[in-house]
Amino acid sequence: MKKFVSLATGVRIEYEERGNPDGEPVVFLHGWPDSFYRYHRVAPVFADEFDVVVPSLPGFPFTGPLALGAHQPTRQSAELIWRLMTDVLGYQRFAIAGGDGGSVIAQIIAIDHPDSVIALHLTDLGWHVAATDPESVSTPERKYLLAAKKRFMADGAYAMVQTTEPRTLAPALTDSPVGLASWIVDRFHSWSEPFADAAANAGSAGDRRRGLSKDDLLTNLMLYWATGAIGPSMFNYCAEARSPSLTPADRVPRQVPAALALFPRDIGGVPPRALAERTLNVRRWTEMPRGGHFAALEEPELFARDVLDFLRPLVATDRHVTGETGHVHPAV
Amino acid sequence: MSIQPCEPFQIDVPQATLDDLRARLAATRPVPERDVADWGAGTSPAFLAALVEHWRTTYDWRAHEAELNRLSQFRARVRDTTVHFIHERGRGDAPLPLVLTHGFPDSFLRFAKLIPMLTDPAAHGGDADDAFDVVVPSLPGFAFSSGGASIFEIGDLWHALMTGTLGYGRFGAHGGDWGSTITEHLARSHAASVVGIHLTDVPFWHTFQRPSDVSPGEQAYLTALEQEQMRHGAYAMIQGTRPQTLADGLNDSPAGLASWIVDKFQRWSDCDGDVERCFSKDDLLTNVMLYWVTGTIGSSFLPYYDVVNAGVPRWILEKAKELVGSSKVPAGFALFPKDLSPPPREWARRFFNVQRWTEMPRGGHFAALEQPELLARDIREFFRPLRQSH
Repeated sequence: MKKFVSLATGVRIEYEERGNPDGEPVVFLHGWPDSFYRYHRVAPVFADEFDVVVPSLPGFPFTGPLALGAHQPTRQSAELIWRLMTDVLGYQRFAIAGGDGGSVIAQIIAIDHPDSVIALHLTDLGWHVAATDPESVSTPERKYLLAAKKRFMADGAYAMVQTTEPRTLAPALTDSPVGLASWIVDRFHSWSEPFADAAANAGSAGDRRRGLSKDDLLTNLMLYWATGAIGPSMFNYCAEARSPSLTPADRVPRQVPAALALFPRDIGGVPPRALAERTLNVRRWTEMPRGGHFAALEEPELFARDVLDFLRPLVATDRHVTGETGHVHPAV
Repeated sequence: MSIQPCEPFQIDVPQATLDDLRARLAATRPVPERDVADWGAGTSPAFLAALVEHWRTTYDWRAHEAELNRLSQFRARVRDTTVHFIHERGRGDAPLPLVLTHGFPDSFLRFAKLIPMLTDPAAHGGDADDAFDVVVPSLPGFAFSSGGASIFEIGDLWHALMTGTLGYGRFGAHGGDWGSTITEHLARSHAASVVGIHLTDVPFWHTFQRPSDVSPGEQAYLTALEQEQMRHGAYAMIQGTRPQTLADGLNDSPAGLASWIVDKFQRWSDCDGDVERCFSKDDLLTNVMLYWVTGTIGSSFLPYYDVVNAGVPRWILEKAKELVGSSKVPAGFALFPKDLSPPPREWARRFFNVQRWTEMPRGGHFAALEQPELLARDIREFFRPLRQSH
């Protein structure tokens, strides 16, 4: 059940809402080069208990792009999501789960509107942390940051291209399905558990709980192909580099509790907890036994269990304190 | 040395390749933001849309193919590589053999304007005594040469081509971009065969090891290079680290290939932002066509991959060549102001026996196409005193 909303800025956001309308709201934020598809396996798990919102972020399939010259574009995306949750969907307070760009947007919403956010559940610290001065931190943090720099030199060229010259690359990926597949699947290969064997998946008859199949990869690709979103999705890198939204010094207010679920095959592996605690009120820290960057797709059970275990007590308390029981839907 | 087999070569692209291209151009998915003229975030969408439209409706490959085929071309088996090359004899009493080496993302086409000025200087305002026998090979993996040879072996291949295949004794060499790296390798490893080398840049790999006593001019040069790399070096990083990830799209989409290549012609030439000041759409497209019809964009990335993946022993070996005296070959430099980052003379002196140093008033990275007269004159004057020794 897909819905659209056009905001005053002219950006049209697509979102999917399902679950228990009397449940507490939780919004799931994806990253690049995935899409709302990242959460399609876990959304049903939450539906009995929560009101689940999975928006497509600006520049991604079905949602309009921000301008390349936008001021603090990721902050603008965060503002749009906040408006979607509050003005459009009528929630007072909500929980946010995010990874990759979704983690950064989640943190910005919590910084700009701490009173709206029940809690943050993140699968990584966000790209802005890479800019932390390695000389200003402890040895384990320094090691992690320097390793990240080294890894970027070996495997970060995709981001450099997308940041500096997205328009040079976009025409090929917009015009060639093979080219689009190669560019995106290379990232899934670098950042996730080894691909699941398609035949093995077929044998397990719908019980595909581990790894990614060719169909998984292609469905995500199709969303980019059908909408021509690859160019706009890359422009996010360029626009954000020109006008950064978040620095490593920006702290999420302590009133917003945060959980980190870290998956070992994610980019750079598991960061030191101390690095997270510099800017987040870390209330839960889970180092997972398997899974990577696209955890909600790769390891939906591990991911969903961690989010549920974290959010359940918090939303119960929240409901008790605020007296909120659900929300009013304005006409959309 | 025995003369090795060498076949005359004419370009003859199969009609099926051109028909397929026409269909792909007609089916090009709309470039996003096609009314945006700006080049600040990569290729201008408006320029690319106009270029693709010109390609589809106006550009006549067969006419350009016929023009290219007026150059005398050959293919020879040199070691394990099939080398495509132009070989034009000079008009004069004693033409000096000269091998010209191109780079990325150009092709043998880089030297199309320069060749007649070098083979027949008398017809171009010069002196017949300055005539050259000109050899222009396509790099391995580019256009009509086969791939596989590493960037570190191409100098050796050129030596085998010039001496073994063509039977020359001593010869000169000129190059820019990868061509300058290859020309340097050639001179270092085969100093006895090379009368002199003429370059339009100092091979970039010398910046990998920074000397402790850099001059202010050198410092400025190194800083400018570093900034250039941060701002515009992504193409080299992706080509060096994930070449196939990029090549898949460029090899499948003519518009995508044109976008990737034309971007460099716009940024590296002395065109003041308007690429058509230096190159017509036809010029740009003929160069793109040499990648498209041969499907060689992926193999053209291999020099970048070779450099990124070369181990420490390789760099020690390359540095050691300086110590055995093989860098004593006379070197001339012609620096063009809009090339990536022109070095100061003292930087070149660290690695070369600099006999001539010319800072040009105008021109960029593709000097042989942009300012062929200036470059031809500089090459003639550099080699003039070196001719007796060949």
